[in-house]
Amino acid sequence: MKKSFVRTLSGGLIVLFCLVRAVPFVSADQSQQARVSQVIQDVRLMKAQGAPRRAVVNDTVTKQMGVRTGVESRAELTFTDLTITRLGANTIFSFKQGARELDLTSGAVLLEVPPKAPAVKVSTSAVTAAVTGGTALFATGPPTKFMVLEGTGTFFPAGHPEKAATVHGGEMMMMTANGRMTRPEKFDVKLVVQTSRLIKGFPPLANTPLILDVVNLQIAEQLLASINSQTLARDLVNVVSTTDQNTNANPVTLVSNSSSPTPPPITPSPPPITPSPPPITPSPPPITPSPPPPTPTPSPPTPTPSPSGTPTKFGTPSTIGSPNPYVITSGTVITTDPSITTNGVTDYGKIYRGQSIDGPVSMWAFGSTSAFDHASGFNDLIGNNSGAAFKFTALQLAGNPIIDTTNGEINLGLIAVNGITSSAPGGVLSFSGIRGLLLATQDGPITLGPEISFSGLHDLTIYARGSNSDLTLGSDISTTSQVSLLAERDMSLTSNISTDDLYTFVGRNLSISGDAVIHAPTISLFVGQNLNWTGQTSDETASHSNGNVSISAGQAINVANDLTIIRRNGGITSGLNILLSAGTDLMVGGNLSIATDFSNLTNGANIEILTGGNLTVGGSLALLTSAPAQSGSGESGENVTVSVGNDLIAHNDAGSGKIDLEIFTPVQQTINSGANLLLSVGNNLTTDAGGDTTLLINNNINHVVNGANISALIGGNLTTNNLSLQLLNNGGEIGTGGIVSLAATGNITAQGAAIFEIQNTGGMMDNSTAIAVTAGNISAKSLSAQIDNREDGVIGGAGLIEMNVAGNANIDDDATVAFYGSDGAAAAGILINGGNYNVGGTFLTYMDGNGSITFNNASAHADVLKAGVFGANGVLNIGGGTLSADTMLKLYAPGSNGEINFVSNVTLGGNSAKILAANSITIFDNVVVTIDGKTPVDVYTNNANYTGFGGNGSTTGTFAGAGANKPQPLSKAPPFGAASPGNVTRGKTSRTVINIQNSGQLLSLVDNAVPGPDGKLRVPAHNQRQALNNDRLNIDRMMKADRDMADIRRMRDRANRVGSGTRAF
Amino acid sequence: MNRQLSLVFITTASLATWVPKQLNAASTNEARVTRVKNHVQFEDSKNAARRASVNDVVPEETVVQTGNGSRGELAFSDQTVVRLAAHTAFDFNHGTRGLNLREGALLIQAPKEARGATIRAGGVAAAVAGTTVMIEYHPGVYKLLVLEGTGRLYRPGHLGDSILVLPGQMVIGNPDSAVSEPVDVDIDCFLKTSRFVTDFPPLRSEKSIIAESQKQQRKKSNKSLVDTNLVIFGGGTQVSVTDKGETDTPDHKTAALVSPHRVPSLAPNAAPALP
Repeated sequence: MKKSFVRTLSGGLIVLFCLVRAVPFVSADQSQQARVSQVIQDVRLMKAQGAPRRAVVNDTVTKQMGVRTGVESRAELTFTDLTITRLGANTIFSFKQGARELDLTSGAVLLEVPPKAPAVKVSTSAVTAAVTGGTALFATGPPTKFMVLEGTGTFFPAGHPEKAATVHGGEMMMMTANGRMTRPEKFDVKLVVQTSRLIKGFPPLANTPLILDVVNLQIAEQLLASINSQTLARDLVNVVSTTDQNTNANPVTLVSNSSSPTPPPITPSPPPITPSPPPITPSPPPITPSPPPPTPTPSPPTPTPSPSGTPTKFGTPSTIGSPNPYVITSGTVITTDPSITTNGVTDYGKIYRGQSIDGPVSMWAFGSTSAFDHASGFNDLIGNNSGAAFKFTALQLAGNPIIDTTNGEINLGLIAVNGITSSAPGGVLSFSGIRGLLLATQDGPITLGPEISFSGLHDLTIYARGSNSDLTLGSDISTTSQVSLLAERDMSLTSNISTDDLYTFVGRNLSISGDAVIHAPTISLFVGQNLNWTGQTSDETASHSNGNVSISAGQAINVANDLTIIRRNGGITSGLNILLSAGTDLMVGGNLSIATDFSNLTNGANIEILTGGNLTVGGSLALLTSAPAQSGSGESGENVTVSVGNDLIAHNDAGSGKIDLEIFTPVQQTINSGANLLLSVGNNLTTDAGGDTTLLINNNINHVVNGANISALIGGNLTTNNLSLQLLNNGGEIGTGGIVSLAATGNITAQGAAIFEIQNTGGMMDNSTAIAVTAGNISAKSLSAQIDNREDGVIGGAGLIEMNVAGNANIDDDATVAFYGSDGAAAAGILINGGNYNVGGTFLTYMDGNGSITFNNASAHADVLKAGVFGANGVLNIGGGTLSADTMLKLYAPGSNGEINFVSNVTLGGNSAKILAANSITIFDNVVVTIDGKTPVDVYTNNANYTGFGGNGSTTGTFAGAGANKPQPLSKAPPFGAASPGNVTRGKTSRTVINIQNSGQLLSLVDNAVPGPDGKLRVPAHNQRQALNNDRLNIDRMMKADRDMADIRRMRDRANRVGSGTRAF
Repeated sequence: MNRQLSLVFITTASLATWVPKQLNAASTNEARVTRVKNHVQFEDSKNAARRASVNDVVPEETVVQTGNGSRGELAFSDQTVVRLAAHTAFDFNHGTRGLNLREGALLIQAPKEARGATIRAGGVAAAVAGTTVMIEYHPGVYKLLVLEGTGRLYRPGHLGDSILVLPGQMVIGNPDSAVSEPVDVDIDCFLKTSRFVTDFPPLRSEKSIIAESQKQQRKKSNKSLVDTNLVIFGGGTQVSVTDKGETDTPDHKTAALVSPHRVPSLAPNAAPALP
């Protein structure tokens, strides 16, 4: 014992010395370093001395170093405060004060500064830009450009911060070659997001939702501007090439600004955690905190022998070398005073008093703090909690020891230098009397088999430390509060884990297989490389923890079967967020179903799926955030974000793979910010031919102050069966938001219907709202883009439907672009921008009240083509292109001040009859309207503002081709036809349609109906929410749990009906 | 099919729907084509697909398939009539004991005097005798509507998962899920709008169907049935919440118009989606 004591004494001195030195040193250095989190092609690291070397992921970049990218190359650096810096091609970059001050010699960088983080400055020799909590692009010129994608920045000449100008999200500033600074002007953020190589080729930015908020705002502003001006003005500056340079191919070696020799790196071999692990903020286990230290800065404890001959309780633990391995059996007695006795031999441990006294637990227990100790959050897990610890050369768990906590700690640490194993007879290890148990290795694996299990502990932490250390866990675990599993290399779980909060951090790969089932409301899985999972249903109610599920892998997540995650609120006010993040691909062999519950929350119920590569689902992707308790009011939540770097594929053998993203806000509550649905796919989105793509926000009878946007950005083609983007705000209110947009760089192909809809019947939209559809080509069986603002719906700003088709829109049946209740909007418009529409049935563009419909260089051919604006001041603008029909062509603006304006040369083609009817028909000066076919166009107007063909000669514009018949009074115009005002669609397209899965749901719908004035039971339009909520019952698209619940309901119904005699049994 | 047999059938069966029983298909395991509109064809494992004509005999395990805008009608020797909607694939074995709807929609009228019929659609089956039903099936969803008589809907292999469906009731569900509750539908509306009715001659069971419709009208009069504003236009499972008056002027282009009814005093379902 005396020998052992001496060793402890000297070891303790050394450790304490290192601790005092290390803590400030590590802290300072880490604030001034970055990690290379992505490398594309040629990226070099440069030091003051020595040749540049190729950068690889996880390289550390310190302030004495520079980074240079070559042709077509890019890089991403992640600083410890999660500031992201991305470097474009041919960029030379270094930093002076951590992530806060950057020097850019040439090239372009993207900066993402977390909210509330200090400002980051980027400087060239001439100018400085600073970003405060936002995302911006900065490129050397000339001219030097600074574009703020979101947040706020400042821009000023170098050395003259007093001249700083503030640049807001969506604005850019430049400094020209002669040193002149331009004023801030708006640029098209959406275009930059779609085209910038500093965004497209990288994993999604954390601030993407904030950027999209700016995009949506710009769309709304743009639409409002175009409505008010009756023109198609675009005020935004299109910026594409600024964000990447391809010209400067000459390699340049950066001269370091270092004035001191390069210090040795802290961690010679950082763990392979790629590309950017999420912020690690593990909640410390609620172990009873140790009493505060008597003095803030205690002097290093000086271990001295006690008078009794037993070693002091404090200091670092010495290693118990014999036996090796030390076997803990059911006969082992552990006192947390602390001593351990097995087979009559007693050894002594130490008491760790928390990091405020004894320093970080890693330093105390292992003699050093590794990068993984820090990254994994191990030290924070233990934090200031105290406990008794024993350190062995190797440890084997073979039985449940006897615990004596008299005068001792209630937390226990069993640490082995080389490894921890288990052996028979094993049994249930309860460590009775112990609250928290730590099993850790200093540098070795941990392998625990099914012969043992853990039960009854408050919390359990298992840490396999060391670069070659794996954690292989086959032992069932059940704790009341938390389980933390850490492995520096690989981790394999084949056992059941039941706890309230599961936290895992794995340096390389994590495998969850066999019979392993996780029962935990709160789950955090952080995996450095790949996560391989059999899959399971995790249906939990969060009562004591936040219920967040965060599953993140630096590389791929591969789930073999179905993965279902359901979170319900058991009484918490914040949480229930679900995140799946894969650095490369996320593959699910079956269905991926996620549902979370906003009921009674003030924050949370967000769903995020982020992949750097493909998202492949072997069935359906169904994401739902809802508030079935119809309560939940607060700051933010209910956002659904799917961001896929490459392809999104939903496919199964049955050909029914589909995508269903839905948000149901509460009823009669207020959400200050949230309920946004974002779908971003870098390349193609593809479902099966029998599978639909549905994006739905149901905000009926609820208030969202800022949000309720549907935004879908598809970098390639979108191919699906039915395509539906629907925002329901019937009886609801949306302050800022309510934009439905789909932008596909490639083609949109819908085997069935393509539906884009905003329902605002009886609802309120305080600002602008819009449907914006952009695609290369569109192919669908039918097309419908509609805003329904009837029943006293109000749109405080502009309401607009904008169709932007670059190529062809081939619609088999009907195409309808319509605005109902347009008089309830401050301004209303329909813009058909470009494209060649070929519609097999009727192509109807329609507005029942005031507003404008504009065809801007769009051509359309249909069996029946009708365009009508029916408000007193309705305007129909035709600007270029060819409009033709086989059966009937009608252009109407019959209001008392209604106008049809031909603003540029137009051809009205086809063999159909052609009718123009408006109070004023104006062919602008020098504009020619050519009438194809043999029959002149019939004109019904009170003001024929053109030359010839009975016109009044007030303009030089005229007809050509077959010309026009002499104008007749507007009052003699034939009716618009079946699609007349108020009855345009015979309810087919304006009615609410609910897709039910079984007749039980239909019964539920009727259950919620009320008698109408006509005596019919009516499901009121504003009560669709309840109907749709019931619709979620018993549907296989969402979740098994709900099916089970519905089965219970069905059985209850069945029992009721037995009494009525309608059942045979 | 046997060529000689075919000739015999062609020369003997030239009447339309109302052929005498003894002139119908000679074998109980065969059916005869009694009506063809547009494109109807036969497919089997031995022969190439061929167009169907009136009076063609349809042997067992021959798939009868209809195209876009097409209709077909078959008659069995026991007077059971099967009508096929557009885009429907159907075959049978053991005569009417094994009717198999692969996809699409059928109307089946099984006379009381017949042996009864069993129709399979995906994972569900319906047994009918003295019954007229409409059944629709697409992968993942089926719909059974009884116009007259009583049908039993069940899932083979799932003991107890069975339900009697009465006249004027309809069941919609997933073949892989437990059978759901029936809802009441407006027979009169169906008769006026469904192409199973409007595009074909009257059914033998027409009087029975009308009688059931009149029962519904009486129930409406005494308020034990109430109209709703929910409509299923045509096939599928999309329920439309219609505007006022819309159901009064149904769209005749729809294949079926179904207006569910419910006695309003039924207790509302209190099961929440997420408790």
